[in-house]
Amino acid sequence: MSRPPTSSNQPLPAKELGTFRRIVKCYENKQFKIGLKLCKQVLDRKEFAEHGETLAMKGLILNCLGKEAEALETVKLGLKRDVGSYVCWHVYGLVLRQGKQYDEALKAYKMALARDKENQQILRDLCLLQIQVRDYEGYKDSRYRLLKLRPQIASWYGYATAFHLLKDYPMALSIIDEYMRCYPGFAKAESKQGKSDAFARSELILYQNMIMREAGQYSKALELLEENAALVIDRRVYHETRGSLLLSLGQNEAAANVYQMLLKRNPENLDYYKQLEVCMGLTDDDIDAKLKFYDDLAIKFPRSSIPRREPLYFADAKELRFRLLVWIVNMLRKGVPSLFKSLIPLYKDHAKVQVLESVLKEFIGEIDKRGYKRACFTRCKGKHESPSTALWLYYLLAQHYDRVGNQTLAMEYINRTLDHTPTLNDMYMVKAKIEKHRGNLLEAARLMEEAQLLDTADRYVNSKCAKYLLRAGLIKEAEMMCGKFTRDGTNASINLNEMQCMWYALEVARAERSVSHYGDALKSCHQIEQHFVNITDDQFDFHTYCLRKSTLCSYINLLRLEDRLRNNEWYYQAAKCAAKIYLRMLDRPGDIFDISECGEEMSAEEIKKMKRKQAKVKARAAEKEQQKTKGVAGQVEKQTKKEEGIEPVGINIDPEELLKTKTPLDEALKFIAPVIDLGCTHVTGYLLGFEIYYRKEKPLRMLQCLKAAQKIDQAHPLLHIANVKFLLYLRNFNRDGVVGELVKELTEELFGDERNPVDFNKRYQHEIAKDFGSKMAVLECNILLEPGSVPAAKKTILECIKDATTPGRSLKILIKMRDAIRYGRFGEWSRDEVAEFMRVCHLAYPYANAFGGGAKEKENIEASKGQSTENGDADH
Amino acid sequence: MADHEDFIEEHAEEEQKSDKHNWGAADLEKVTAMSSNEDEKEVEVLGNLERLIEAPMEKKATIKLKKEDVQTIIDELLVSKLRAEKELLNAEGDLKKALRSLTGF
Repeated sequence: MSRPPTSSNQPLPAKELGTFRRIVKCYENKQFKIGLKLCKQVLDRKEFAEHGETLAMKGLILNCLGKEAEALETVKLGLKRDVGSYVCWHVYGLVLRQGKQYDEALKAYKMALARDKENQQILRDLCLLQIQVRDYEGYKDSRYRLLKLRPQIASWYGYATAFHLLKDYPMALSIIDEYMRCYPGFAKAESKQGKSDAFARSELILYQNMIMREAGQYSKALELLEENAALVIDRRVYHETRGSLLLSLGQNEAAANVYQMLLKRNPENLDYYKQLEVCMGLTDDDIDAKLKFYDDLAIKFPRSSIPRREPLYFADAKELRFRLLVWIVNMLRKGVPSLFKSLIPLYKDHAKVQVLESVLKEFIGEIDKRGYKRACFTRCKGKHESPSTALWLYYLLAQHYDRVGNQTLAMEYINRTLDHTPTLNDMYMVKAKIEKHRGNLLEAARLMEEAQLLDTADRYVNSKCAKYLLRAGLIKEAEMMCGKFTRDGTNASINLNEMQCMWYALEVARAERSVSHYGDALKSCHQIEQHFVNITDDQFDFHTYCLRKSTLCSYINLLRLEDRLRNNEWYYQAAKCAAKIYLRMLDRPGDIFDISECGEEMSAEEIKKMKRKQAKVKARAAEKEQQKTKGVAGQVEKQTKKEEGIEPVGINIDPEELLKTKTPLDEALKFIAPVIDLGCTHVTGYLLGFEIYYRKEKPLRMLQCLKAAQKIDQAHPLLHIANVKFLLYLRNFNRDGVVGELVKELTEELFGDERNPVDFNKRYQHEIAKDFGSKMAVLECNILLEPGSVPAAKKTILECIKDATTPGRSLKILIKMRDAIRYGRFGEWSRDEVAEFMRVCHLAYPYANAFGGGAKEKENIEASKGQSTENGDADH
Repeated sequence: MADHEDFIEEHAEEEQKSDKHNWGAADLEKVTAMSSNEDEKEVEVLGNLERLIEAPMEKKATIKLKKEDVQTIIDELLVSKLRAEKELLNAEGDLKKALRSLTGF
């Protein structure tokens, strides 16, 4: 824009032209206030009051000052006055881009370019936008024009990436070749240029290599890489690339040498071990060879844990026993808190769990027999373990029993650790976790607070504590807890949102949802959504930066990451939470808009009890907080006032507004559609999609969701329900044309001959439904097919809960059942029936807050220990 | 918001002729003459580029897309127009094929 406005239909006289140029300068230097004043100077003169380009500049400056609406109006007015001016079109495009109307902005840029064909600034802006919206074809053309206008390094890179992204590898490679040919000094080491050039050269070689690998030209890639070996500055990447190339070419021996060398550099990189396994031709069946392989490496790298740990995961039971002994004893003696984490993969295999448990029992037997001051795990005469070993053993046992679902024994061992050393916060954290697993969320939160108090400088414990408070429904307290680590002077929630802290937002969303504050829950989900929007927008900076800095491999990887960004777990969880609430708006509008009536089908007494408990924990937290905040209160006020000017996005979302939406399905779809399109790995993601499309009556999309879910887990209970729903939907489906035809075809492919929902449900019941979840799914389908089956369903539900041997019966699934019953998925339940359901659940899980158990009842339960301990011990 | 869209389209039509003409590579050749420090070498380089580029540019075949087919895809699968057109193009204008591939069958 630094050039004079040649395409204008409203030429300015010399003096005003000077002013106009100063306006442009002011904009470029971000002197917005002065710029506006100068605009006023020109526009105040009658003959120039409607000068298009000045109006456009005024609009642009207004836009930078945050007055978007006024800005757009002004720019549009300017454009109307002077349609022939490239400045007006360019500015219009810029303002549209700011407003995220990318398609329109693209058009405007193109109009501007048509009026000034050689304007590099416009061309650059166009390129930016085209790559941002992934218009690769358009990007390629614009890059070509820019390269012709300005054949400098970034233009060359840009042009090459365009072809690379279009998967036209030969063209991308020829452009790089051409570039290296034209600037021969660049490709040679003896070039006199400085350090930055050496780096750019190194990056270009690696980039060229990346394209070749993607094009499958492995031997050429290897040849060029080795030829330029001395020029590649990042040695680790050089060796890793070379290793993988050699492996792709089948030169396993050479590749093995590379990985051996890499292991010497870093013996804790698991990937190197895995690659080396491939080089040696080791398969998963060849256990003995693999054991030897890792044993050899263990000797070679005595300080590395990987070669000692990996065999645990594939060794058979007999071998495992011996190795576990060594592994566990070593770690216990060192006192490694994360020991249990390294054992988690073993829990997939029941036989291995047995071995682990017998090893642990042996240790504990030794300690119980000889007392922990004299015991020795390795049975060496005259030697004994240090006192702390016993502590870590109890700790490990507690975690083990918690993992296998025996919370009673877990509690016993964790209490032994506390008797041994009452000041170690790891122990309290595990105790809190055990309480959480038996549903006593309030007590779990209290224990976490204790752990937190033992080390107030530990942010990990602090965050865990906040999470546990949120699980217990203590939202305010959790915020205060987080406030101990967020910046002074701002509210913790605002600060965490600014930091894009997703776990917190997600836990808040769930906590708010569980107390029926659906608006606030949605707000948190939208905040997470907003983070992802921001991450996408942040790309803009990298389009220019990466090309200028020649970090092309990382740039391409960044673009690919951004393309799949919403495949992220946090996004999925937020989308799930939001979609469920939006569906509830349709299914049960009463829940959303009349809070007093909804949700709590607990008896008045229960509510009171619950509130009393919450109040207690609250009071304790508040008391502690009070002492703290007193000191900073004054400071806080000052700070908040100062920061009122800047309003972070996301924090201003109005929960009430979110609930007022007229199109909850579309809102839900906005969250879920990317999850489905990016191929998420959760069955539930697709089934939520199904529920939305089912209500929107889009059969093809329903089929898509069913198929994708089937690929992940064919027997999933929720999938079964969706299948039955779809077959029911088909009964009244009669559409002609391509769509009707296709729906029939695809249904046949998916369901075969079995298209009668009743038979389909029966077959599932007999062949698959053995565990709790799928049994419930059958009942739900029964009700869908025959509403009269509700009483029978109720009976079966209660029976299944009472029967502790029902496989898959867990606290988690019972809480889901409670919610499903409240949602009305199992017909109408009277107050008494719900009470009976709660009573039965309470008996099964006496500590769960969700069914009225918990901290207060502890004494009663302990008293009748004889019966109740058996409950948790189903596995033993 | 709607009126500025029309506004652009109006002018876009008016400009289309000259726009298309100017967009092509032919016109750009003149541009290369533009001043630069290392004029000669760059002209030669770009000449090479042109040769590189010609082949892929000519290859484009044209497939006619039916408007109502695009609309069907949009209505049934709730995707953007851009995506619908692209899928239909990939399926060489075959609606059923496009729908099938979009639903992952």
